[in-house]
Amino acid sequence: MEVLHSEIPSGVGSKGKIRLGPESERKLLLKGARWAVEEGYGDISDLERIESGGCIEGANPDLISQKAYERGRAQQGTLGSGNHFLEIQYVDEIYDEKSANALGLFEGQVTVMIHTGSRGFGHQVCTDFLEVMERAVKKYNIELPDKELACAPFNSSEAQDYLAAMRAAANYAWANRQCIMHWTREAFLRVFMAAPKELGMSLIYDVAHNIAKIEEHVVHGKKMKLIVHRKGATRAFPPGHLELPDIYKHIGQPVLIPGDMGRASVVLIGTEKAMSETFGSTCHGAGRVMSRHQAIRQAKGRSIYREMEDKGIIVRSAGRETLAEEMSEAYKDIANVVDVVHNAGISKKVARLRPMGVVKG
Amino acid sequence: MLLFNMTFEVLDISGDAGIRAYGKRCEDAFMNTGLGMYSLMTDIDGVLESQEKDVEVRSDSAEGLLVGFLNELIFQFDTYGFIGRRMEVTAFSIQPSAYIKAKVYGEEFEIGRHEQRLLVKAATYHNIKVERINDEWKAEVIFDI
Amino acid sequence: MTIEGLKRIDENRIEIPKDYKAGMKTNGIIFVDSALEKALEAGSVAQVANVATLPGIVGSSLAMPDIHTGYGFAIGGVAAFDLKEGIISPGGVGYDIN
Repeated sequence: MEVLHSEIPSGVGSKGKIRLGPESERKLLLKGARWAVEEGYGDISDLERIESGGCIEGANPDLISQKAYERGRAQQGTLGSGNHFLEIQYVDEIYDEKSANALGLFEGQVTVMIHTGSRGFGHQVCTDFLEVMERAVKKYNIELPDKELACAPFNSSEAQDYLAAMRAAANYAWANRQCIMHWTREAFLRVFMAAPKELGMSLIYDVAHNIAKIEEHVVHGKKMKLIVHRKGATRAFPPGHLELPDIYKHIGQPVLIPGDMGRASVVLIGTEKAMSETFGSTCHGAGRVMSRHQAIRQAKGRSIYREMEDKGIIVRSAGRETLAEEMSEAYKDIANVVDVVHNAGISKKVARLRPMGVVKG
Repeated sequence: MLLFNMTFEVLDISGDAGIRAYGKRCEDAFMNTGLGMYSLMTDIDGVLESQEKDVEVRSDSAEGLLVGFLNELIFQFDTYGFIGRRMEVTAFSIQPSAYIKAKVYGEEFEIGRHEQRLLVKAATYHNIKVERINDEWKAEVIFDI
Repeated sequence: MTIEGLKRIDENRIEIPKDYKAGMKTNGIIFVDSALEKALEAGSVAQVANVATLPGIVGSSLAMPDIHTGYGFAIGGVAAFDLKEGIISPGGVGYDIN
């Protein structure tokens, strides 16, 4: 845990180990996780286990503001803060033996889960384009019940520009997790004196959960191309889907649902029903029940660090407040959330993972 | 210069955080929102005034100006690690076209020396308020955390 | 808290009917059981209904059981739009892209 905490930059104001020049940042935005692999972070075989191969086509670096470039320059390979984390976990229950086998999961096995995104780069892209959209709403006379739904007709230049910029940010996120995964493997190599391959540290899957994508879906019996927005929702494609890698075609797309740091995370797979009912989507996490300040108030006089340690979970966190905000009680129980999507049939439970060590920003 | 220090309060919203700030003049309320935001990120009493940054933002509304101003401060922090503890507004108008020019005094954030609190991603238009109440100004903004 | 005007479809889903709010082009569906329904915020339900008013929405305005209030669109929201008639919105993706 010490090595992971020192090797992977996290928390407010942390600086990354990678400094991107203008040309390499452009390349990264076009290539995503592939850029990271070409730079020596990870293995080419990782890519097929990433949604969209870790690189969504149609990103356009020319549409990125100077500000976003500057903000992104030093944040590649950083975890961030808030609900972002890196966890060492173990598999404590298998729900679906066949799928677990295909994913290479078995009871008692150690896993690592990484939750982070496009960092300040993506935040800047969103900030920049909310302004563009605000103007577009007026220009195209779109009536909205809430100003915050600012949008543009899909075929407009504003919409196409956003799509291309958002794709660049999505690629930034895929590259970011790829770099962090690489350093995680290196940390294990250093501590256990064994190569990632010997330790069996292969990637299970990498999914996005804040993205808009053009996808083909069947609506009223007719195939249609749609722009599917998933905001805090995970793609959950069924067995046989063209976008799945061969290794997972027979079981369906793996779905990773991080829970809070004290309880559990769950691995699921996508289903046909998700395809017909939710545009191939499922949940993405636990969801808060307590505001940050409620949580901080509740945690007053308690040592969340100690409480976690008593449960056998080692935590390394930069901020004391972050730890309080992120305590278990601040979140819905992941089990309840996952049971709903499982019982509704829009994804299927495969395995439960319990945390042992948590790096928090 | 008058320092309306600590004339802000933290708003409690599920998942996110906000600042409500007051000031004698509208620019004071803006400034206090900025200081309030910095206090979400760290304990600003521990910040030295060894650097200064000039910030200039334009917008077509008062609300847009506040969001733009705070997003500029977030950008300076996220990109250069610059965190402020005091500011002076040198030019200001909320009439269109609205603008703000400010000098922010602070330093580069240093892990270990500065407390790491919240990572503020962006200032949003969600329930944003810039209003005059009697002879005081109030500004309210919610951040994406 | 129970929110008025919502209809339970089955054990795992509730519906926001099309007449819940003026301008809705389709219904909303939230995946929650009766226990999680109690944790629903009025604000996030209104957001699912708001998304149903957007031009070119296809199918229902959907939300997953981990729904909570977000910027414009609820977090946990899924919405699909037609490429000809529909829109794209940064609020439907959020700040933390990917």
